[in-house]
Amino acid sequence: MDGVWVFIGADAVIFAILFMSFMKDRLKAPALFEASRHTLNVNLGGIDTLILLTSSWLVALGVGAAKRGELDRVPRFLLGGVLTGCAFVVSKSTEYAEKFLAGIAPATDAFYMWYFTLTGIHLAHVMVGTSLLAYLWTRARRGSVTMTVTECVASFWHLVDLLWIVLFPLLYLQR
Amino acid sequence: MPEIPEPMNAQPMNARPVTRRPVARERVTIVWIGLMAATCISTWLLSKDAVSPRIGVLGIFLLAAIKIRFVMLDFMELRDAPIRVRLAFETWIVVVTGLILGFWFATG
Repeated sequence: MDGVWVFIGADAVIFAILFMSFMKDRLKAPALFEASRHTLNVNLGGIDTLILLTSSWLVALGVGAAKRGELDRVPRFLLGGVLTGCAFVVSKSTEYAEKFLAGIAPATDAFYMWYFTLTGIHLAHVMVGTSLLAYLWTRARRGSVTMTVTECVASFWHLVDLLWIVLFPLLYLQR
Repeated sequence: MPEIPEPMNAQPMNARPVTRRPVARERVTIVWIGLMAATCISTWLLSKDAVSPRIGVLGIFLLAAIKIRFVMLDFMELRDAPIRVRLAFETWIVVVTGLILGFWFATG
């Protein structure tokens, strides 16, 4: 379990450096960053946050049920985590499609370079996390998963959630 | 997250259910409701033009910091983790929030 904490800590530090690099670039051109920010879909960003919070909650319920030996409930909670993870991927893909159809791409300006970089790296985390949850779900249905594996995957999934809690206001809400 | 004794770690999760707790009575459910409410306040209230940018941004990032702390302590179960692990993660919240707000106020 210690190795997972080191990985999660290192990932969190890398994201913290990216957040600061974004703020440093924003300092150079606040008007451009603000103008581009206005073209983002705040409602969709807010819904994404609600989706990930719900996903984290379901996975936390799954870990709690596993610890208490309520093993018939674990696969259901994990499946909820998988489906909400998929919902986030669909939502983010819709948002990217909106942007590309409007002619907006990473090369559009410095803000959008950061927007696609930060949300893209985060989306990769979501896809890895959702895949791990799906694997855990199949194992939990057969009753062949251990607490250590469950807790490692759950901790990674909560990291994905908390990184989005910073990313959302950083890109979408900061005026 | 507290360390589980190794013998339990090695066991598959196939023991018989011992107790059943309703989802509504779980601490993580109360935390989740609070996190959802805080998200709605940030997204659909504090970000609006009716709120001054200083108050709005300060409120949004402080709420984000509080949300992250609850995710760490209750979802990641760091509340019961060794103090050095908990301290490292809580320091991350303070540093990230402090630097973001520092940059924002420096931008003017």
